[in-house]
Amino acid sequence: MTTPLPPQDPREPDEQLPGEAELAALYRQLPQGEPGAALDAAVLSAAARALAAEEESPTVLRERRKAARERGDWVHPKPVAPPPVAPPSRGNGRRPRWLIALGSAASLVLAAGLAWHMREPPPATPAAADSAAPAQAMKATGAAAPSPAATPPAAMMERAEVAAPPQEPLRQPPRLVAQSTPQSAAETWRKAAADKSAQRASSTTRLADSLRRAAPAAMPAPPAALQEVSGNAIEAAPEAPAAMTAAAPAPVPSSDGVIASNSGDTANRELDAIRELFKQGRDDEARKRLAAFQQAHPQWVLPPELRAQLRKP
Amino acid sequence: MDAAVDPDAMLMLAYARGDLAAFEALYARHRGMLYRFLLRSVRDPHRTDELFQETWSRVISARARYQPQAKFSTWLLQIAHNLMIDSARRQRPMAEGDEAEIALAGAAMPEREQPDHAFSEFERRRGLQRAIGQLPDEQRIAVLLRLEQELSLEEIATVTGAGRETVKSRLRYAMTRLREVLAE
Repeated sequence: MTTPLPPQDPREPDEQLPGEAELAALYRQLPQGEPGAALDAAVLSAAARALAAEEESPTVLRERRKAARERGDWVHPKPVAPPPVAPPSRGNGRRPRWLIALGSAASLVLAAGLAWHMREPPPATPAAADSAAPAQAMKATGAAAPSPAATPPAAMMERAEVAAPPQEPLRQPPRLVAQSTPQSAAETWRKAAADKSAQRASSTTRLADSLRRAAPAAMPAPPAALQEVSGNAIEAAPEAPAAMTAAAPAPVPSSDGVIASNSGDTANRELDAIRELFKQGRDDEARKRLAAFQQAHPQWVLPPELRAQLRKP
Repeated sequence: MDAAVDPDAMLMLAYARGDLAAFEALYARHRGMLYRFLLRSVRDPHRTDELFQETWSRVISARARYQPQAKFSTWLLQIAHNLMIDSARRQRPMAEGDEAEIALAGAAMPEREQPDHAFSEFERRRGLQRAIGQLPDEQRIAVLLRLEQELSLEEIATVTGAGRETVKSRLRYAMTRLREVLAE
């Protein structure tokens, strides 16, 4: 026995319950209550007022629908708040906030970058750096003697950073370069350079790397001695003077054998040239140039062997 | 009847568009039915008036978001039923006994109903009223919706928020009790 499914369509007549027809007939005979006239008037007037209010302010209904329902708000509509009037500068007032922040950040980055580039040390003028590098570069590359102007600025900066002790070599470079085995001077210089180089080791490494990358293509191979000195200075700062001393050669003779002695030569180069003249047996010329050098640099302390040569008749 | 072609729904939509005459026609069609349902449910003329007016106020307020998903009469009775339940929760107990009988007897009586008509019929109607008033609330509402509004089981379930079989069970119990009273 199966239970019949209930009708799904509410319009379909339901099955009659037992005694329903009799009860329905009797029920229809009950007094038919009706609402009073006052009640009818109240309802109809409420309907008319609602339409009139909607026509006067059509936004009222929309505002109520937008807002969250509250208890009893269907009886007492919410007052319509005037639309918020944004100040004219509000739209422009938001943009500068993030623009100011972005501008500040960009300014900071720019200032940091400028500071990084501006903190490069002043160009050093030790004689060793100027004299040693071109000679070694020429030895390494076999090219003609480079002029100072032809030296790439990057290489100059690298030499200055790596090979130049800050203060003392500026005052007494000839002692360091001219003496063949200047143990005491080298030790002094090594002590002074050790302190400075240790502080600059990290920054020098970064700068050297960047300068190597920025080296112009016209300089195919960096000077071997320069790389060697640079490596020594980076890895072990106290060894830098020794390497530089070893890298400080005599001036290179030109093709015709005449030692260059132009006004641009530094003092130690002049002394090297004089020393080379003595080696070549051109003592008279060497003594003349030495005397001229002493007159030009009376405060310069000459190396002992040159002083001995000067005293010779 | 399909809700989409329900003439009452059409009238309600017309009122939502600003047609006051549509509302007047709608009100005229359902005022008596709603009033009797409320009166026989709460058996208190004052509360009936309050609930009647409040029901129509809700209809007026909801005109803009009204969608004819069901018969208008079903929707109207559902509003009235909910208001009645809320009112019963916070109001005094319903009128009992003679007070309810007086309230129901105060309604206009058809002219054909004369005191000397048939005393037995009068007693039967009075007995029916009393028996309906003594039914539990859920059964009484189900019977009123069935006998007064002639709603289907599904429509009664929609109005009262109960299941169809629950409505059917309530109707069975209620009609059995009414028949027992009338048979006494």
